[in-house]
Amino acid sequence: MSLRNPLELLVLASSVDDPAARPSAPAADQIEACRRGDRAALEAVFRAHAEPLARLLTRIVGPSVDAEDLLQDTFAAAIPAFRRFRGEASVKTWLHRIAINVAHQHLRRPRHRREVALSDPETVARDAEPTSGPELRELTQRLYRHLGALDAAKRIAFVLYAIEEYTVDEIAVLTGASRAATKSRIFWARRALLRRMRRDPQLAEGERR
Amino acid sequence: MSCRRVRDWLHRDVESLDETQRLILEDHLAACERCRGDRHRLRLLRRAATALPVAPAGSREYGRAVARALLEDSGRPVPAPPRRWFGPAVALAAVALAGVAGVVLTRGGRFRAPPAEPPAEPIAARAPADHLLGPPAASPSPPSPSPSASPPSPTPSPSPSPSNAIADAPGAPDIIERGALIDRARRLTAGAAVPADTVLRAAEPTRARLASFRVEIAASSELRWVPAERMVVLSRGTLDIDAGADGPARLVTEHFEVEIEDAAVTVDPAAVRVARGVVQIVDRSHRPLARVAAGTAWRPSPAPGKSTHRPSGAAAASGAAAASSAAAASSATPPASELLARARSQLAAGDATGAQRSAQSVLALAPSDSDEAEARMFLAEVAHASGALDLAVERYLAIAARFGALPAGESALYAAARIELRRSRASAARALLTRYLARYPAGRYADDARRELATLP
Repeated sequence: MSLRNPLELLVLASSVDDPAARPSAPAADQIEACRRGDRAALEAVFRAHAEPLARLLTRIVGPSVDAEDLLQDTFAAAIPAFRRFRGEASVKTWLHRIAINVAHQHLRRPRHRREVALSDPETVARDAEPTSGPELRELTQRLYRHLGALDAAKRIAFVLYAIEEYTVDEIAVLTGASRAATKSRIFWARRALLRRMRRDPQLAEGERR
Repeated sequence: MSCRRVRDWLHRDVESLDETQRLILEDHLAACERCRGDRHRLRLLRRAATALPVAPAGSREYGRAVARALLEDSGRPVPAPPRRWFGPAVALAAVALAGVAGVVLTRGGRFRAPPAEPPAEPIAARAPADHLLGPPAASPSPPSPSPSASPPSPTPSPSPSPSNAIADAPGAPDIIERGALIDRARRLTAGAAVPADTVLRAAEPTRARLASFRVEIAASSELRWVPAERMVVLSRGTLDIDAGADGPARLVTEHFEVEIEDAAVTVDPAAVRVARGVVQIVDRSHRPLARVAAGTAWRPSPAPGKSTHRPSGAAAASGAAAASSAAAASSATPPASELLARARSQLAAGDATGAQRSAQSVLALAPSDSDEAEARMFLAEVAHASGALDLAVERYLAIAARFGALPAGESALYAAARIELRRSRASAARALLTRYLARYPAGRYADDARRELATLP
């Protein structure tokens, strides 16, 4: 399958992260109600944060996983944890931390470490996730196959850094790791990922500007 | 210039770099082919990831994820201080939610409670009431799988009395047969003895044998077992009791007590539903409130001690009374479309009890095929959200078989496959996905189904 001009395809298909669409911070009384386990308050907070959390989860785990399941796991983990929420971080940051933990647990499950030979185009094509076109699907799948070779913690740190564009300090907070550990993870993840990607002839196009 | 200096900038857009960084990067890229390639690959990855489709805010998927998480939490033991005995009535909403989980999860167990009000099909209407008023033969026969299959009883029931209960208390062990109970910080699992006179919380749907009767306890329910009086005190949640004829059991709630002998009942603080036999309900001063027969329900009125509109009293709910009650209920029932919309919003809000009731109300209206399919989908989703996955798959497959030509039938078949996938039953998932693709080769989920089939071992 041809991968001519994949970048243009991607640019066309890119979603725009609209800051205006981001959820507003819940009021103090709403947080207090969440701590008490008030279902209406929990639902309101979760619904407000559902979309950014789903986006984060999707970008970490890739196209072949149902983000709705992980989102549900995130909320299920957040409900009892709300009783211990002290408000030191924003609700958004706190929920993102939980989502990252959920994604981490998901990525550590053995079936997600299975490798598919990239030389088997039929396998890749069968495994593709519909997005907006077969070339884009194949490319996305191929890129996530490379990402899938990374250790879960390194993969998450790298995605947060290179895709979500968090700073190292922010990633350290979100993942509960030290700054040094976070920098190390990003470094080794990028190195391993680029080594794999350089060997992939399908990703060699466009090297010359 | 070192590649190391620019590596942190490779994935970023030029616009996000300051002027100095941009110039350094451009100089380096002009001279370094490898970094140019890496920059291309990293930007490709970033753009591919940001192009992944995500449902917009307010989508049904999000409401479903929230609803399921809230339902999941309702079945989880809460690490909180012990609740005040006989908790406040405002906890009834949570109790009702735990109740529906209990009813759903105990389906297929020793007995099944009739549906919550209004009943889709009044059970008592199917059997003459005089068959239900007495106990069966002296030996405690195994309970029937469904209330309608209860054996008719030839002799009248002896009136149960607490003093009898103490005298008849056998030395049978009180053990947990399935699930787990929490005794303060202790988790008691299958095979453990049920401690007496202690507040216990069900960590999950739990079955226990207490004296000579069996109880099914819905997750999160709280109870205390008093063996000296063969009494279960229920402070929260839902309990099914199936008692034989060898001595009555007493179930005590905040506002009423139920005396159970050779009968099967589902009790929560808001209702008593009888699946087999006849039970006597008394108030906390032991004044009779009602005798309730199989297939009918009794609810305390807001003022404790008074029964509500359901069949009650000495008449013990004849079939005619149940039928007229159902007819009265149906005359005030909103149209199917309104009920379905209500079920939809209830499910999205995590109100599984309400969603189930609304969907059952639709089914009681002799609805069109599409309305019936949608109502049955809600019932399947309630089971799914409650964690009763076998039941959910069974319901989805029934919808797929019966309404295969409708969109709901297609969704149901794929939903059943997804459940099997999620619980790692590869062969079942493969069979269902294959069946889906054979039936809907260009269906809405065909691409997903093909992809999932390819990932199966």
